[in-house]
Amino acid sequence: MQPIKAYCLGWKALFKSKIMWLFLFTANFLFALIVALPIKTLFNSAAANSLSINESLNRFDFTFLSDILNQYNMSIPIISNQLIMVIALYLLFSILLSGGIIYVFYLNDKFSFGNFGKGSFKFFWRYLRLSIYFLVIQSLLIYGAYKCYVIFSGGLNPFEMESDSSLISAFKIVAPIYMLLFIIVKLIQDLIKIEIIKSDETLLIKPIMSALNTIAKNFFSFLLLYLLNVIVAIGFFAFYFLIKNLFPISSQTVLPLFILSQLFILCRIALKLVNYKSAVELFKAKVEEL
Amino acid sequence: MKFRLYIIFYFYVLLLSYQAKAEQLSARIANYDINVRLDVESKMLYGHTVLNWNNPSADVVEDLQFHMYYNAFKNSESTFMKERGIFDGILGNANDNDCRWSYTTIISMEDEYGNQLVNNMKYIQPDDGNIDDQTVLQVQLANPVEAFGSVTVEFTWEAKVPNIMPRTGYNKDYYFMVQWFPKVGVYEAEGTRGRERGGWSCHQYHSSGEYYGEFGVYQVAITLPSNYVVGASGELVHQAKEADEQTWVFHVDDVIDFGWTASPHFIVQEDQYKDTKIKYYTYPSKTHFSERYFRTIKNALAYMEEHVGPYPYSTLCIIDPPIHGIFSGAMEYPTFVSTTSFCFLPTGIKMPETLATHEFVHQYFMQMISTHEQDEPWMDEGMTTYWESRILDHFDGENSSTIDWLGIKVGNKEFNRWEYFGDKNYKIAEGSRKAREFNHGGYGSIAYNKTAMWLNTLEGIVGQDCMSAIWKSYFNRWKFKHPGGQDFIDVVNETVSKYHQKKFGENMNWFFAQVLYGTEECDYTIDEIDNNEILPKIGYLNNTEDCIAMPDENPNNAETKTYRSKVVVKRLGDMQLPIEVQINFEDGKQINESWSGFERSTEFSYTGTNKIISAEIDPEHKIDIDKNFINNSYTTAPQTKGIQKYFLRALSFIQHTMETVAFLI
Repeated sequence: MQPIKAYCLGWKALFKSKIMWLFLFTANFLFALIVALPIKTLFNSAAANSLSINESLNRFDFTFLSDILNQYNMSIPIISNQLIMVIALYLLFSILLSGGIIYVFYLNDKFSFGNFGKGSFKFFWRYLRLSIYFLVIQSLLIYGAYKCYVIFSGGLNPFEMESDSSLISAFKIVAPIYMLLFIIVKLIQDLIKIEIIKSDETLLIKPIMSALNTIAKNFFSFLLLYLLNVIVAIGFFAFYFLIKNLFPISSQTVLPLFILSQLFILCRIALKLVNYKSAVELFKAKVEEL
Repeated sequence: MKFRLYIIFYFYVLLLSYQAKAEQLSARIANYDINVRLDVESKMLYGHTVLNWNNPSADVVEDLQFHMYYNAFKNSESTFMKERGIFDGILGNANDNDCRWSYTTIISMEDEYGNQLVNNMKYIQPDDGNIDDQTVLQVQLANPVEAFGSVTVEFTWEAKVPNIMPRTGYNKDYYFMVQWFPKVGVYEAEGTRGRERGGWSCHQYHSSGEYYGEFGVYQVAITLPSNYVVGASGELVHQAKEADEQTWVFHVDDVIDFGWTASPHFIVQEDQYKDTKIKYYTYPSKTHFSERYFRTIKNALAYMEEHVGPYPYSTLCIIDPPIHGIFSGAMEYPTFVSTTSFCFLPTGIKMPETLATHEFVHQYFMQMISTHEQDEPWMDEGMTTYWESRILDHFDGENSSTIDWLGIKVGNKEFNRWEYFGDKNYKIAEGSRKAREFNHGGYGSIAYNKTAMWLNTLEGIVGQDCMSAIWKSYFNRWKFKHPGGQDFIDVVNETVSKYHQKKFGENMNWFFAQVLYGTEECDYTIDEIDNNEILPKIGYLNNTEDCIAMPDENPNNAETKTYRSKVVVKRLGDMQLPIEVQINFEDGKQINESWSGFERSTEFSYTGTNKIISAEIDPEHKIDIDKNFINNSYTTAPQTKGIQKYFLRALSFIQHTMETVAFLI
């Protein structure tokens, strides 16, 4: 049961990499703050001295939000553009850091910013190219899923459809297949990243071929590992929403809900790290076998 | 010919005998006996109509005018199509084998004296002179109808059913047959809706605004293949099967129109509210909505009965069309309404409830109180939207009656307000404008949303008791008649003066001049709160020799300080409404002030030992039409908790979004 062993090693490694974990969380927080602060400014200038904002403390206040959108909408496009820019930057930053994360995990060393930084910058351009390729592949996958959905539902023109239930039945068929393919593509992408670090080749073709070879020979082990990762992630999501719904909306729960949300972000980052580390461990085990 | 007249007479006597059984609610001006056969292969209707029309005026009427609605879809040159524009998605492409266009034509017509009238017909275009438009047919009578007299005409007609046109037509084997038969217009006697002279109100079919009909009795026999299930206005009085066809006979009294629908796939579910049978027609994928519809309609029936007047009909059909029949969703016809839903809609998305309530309320506003939707759409759609909010907010909560899903809660009234102020055209026209004259947008937001908002505002100003009396009085006076806008205003003026005497002036015309006949915007704001400490008088006070200095016992050090405080209120919009202002002091004391709202600004000043900490205009949100509730209040201390809530939520949301996107790489 190598996949399960690798998965357990992933969790073990997580707690040995608390600094990296915290660093990633801080980065996420600071990037988000760049957009959240102008939103705070907008609310401050529009409503800080209005009683209406406090009336909305205990509920989802659509009237207040619609007044903000309708009467103070000049700032909204600026904030939206800023959000898009920050997300793009965060994507690049994540590509940069993923090199460091996998490098540290691959070396099996104790976390150090030296190794982390070295891995990040050394593999950045290769990871960037790889990410672009895989963004294209993911886009094609989404397009393919959409096309299949259209075929299975008998077309999306409502006037051509026999019944709206075909939208649901097509979704029930296409969604699981898409999810499975998405996981497989993600699996391949991650293992190529590991192979890049292992082989340290400048060109991507060799690591890609090598990784595909490894995957082909151990496909079900890797798939099992990734399914395990996904199932645990779904469990975390479900648990989070369950807990979140226990808190009523009130002035007393603003801070607890925020803390809960931050804990969940920490969990999401943890799951990402566990995923990387477990993939590295299984990859190493399989390469050794070969 | 005589034989045919005997037949007509026989049916007419039958009709009259049926009528005698039921209490007559309306003047029954236009009474129809229609036999129609639907050929589902050719999509043709073959009809035979006996129309008995009573002249409601002291005029001698020399012609009849008919709506020929299906000619709106005859070609691209009709007024309807020119106004709406050719919509690609709905019309398909040139390679379609079936021509999607439709038409209706009268083949023969004879009056009770045996006069053939088919050569006395011509299409007229009373609204725009578009000679290509054939939606109004004028028939010159050989024997004019005397004052308060009547005429009976018998005519055969045929129509091709349109494929997927707005509101009506067929798609696959689903048929939604509304505005489907040659229908006589409304002859308005002098004085009706302010008319100076009697005459026909029979407008061309326009893109916006559908209804204006005359009250009457309908007996409709529909023949079609026997595997079809038919739902229609009124009661099913007879059903007969012959070979592979079936005839369904429906009867309904005191209505202004007749609609029906047919499909082999309909599943019919039934419920009852007092004497009214509620029937729900839908396709198998949507039968699970029945409980939602029945609950909603029963709530609406009870609410309207209590607050406006009873629903007098014995049936109400709710049609939830299949997805390929979505073009026919959300429509209203007498005792027959359609909604829209999708089988996967969660309970918290209350689209079925909203549409069912809205379309049901139309039974009152445009049906029983038969207003002219083309000329005065606010009396139809606006009043209906107002009642839709009242009913849904009452039963499903004012903050959750439209959406209550995944923590998102939206009430109907607040959604309506968002729709209005979210429309870039919300000030483009006055609310009294004719439907066909909203040439540059704003029809929906002004006719529907704005009217509902100013009706809410009127309720806020005059109070709930007075408003209830207005609605009851309006309904009782105008049910089964044709009121115009001024008739409603008259009822408001009478009732308000009864409840409030001259509190709001001689009448409420000043209100309607702004909200209905004007385009003014309402926006009041608390501009500032000032608390100035009162200091002893110092300086050269009595003469120029003794300069009085600040006493040693500086009042600033005293335990009790005195303040001169003021609240400045401004009118930012041009609309002038009486407003209430609530002023709160630091010791918890509240003072309620009133202001006429006429001037651009005013202030309320106080002297005392407590500072003003906040002030709020219209604390009970009675002035629904105020465009910005946020600036209606002001607090001297920033409301940090509220800011914190939205800031932290936004921060978490952005964090999660970034992490989700990063997962892709």
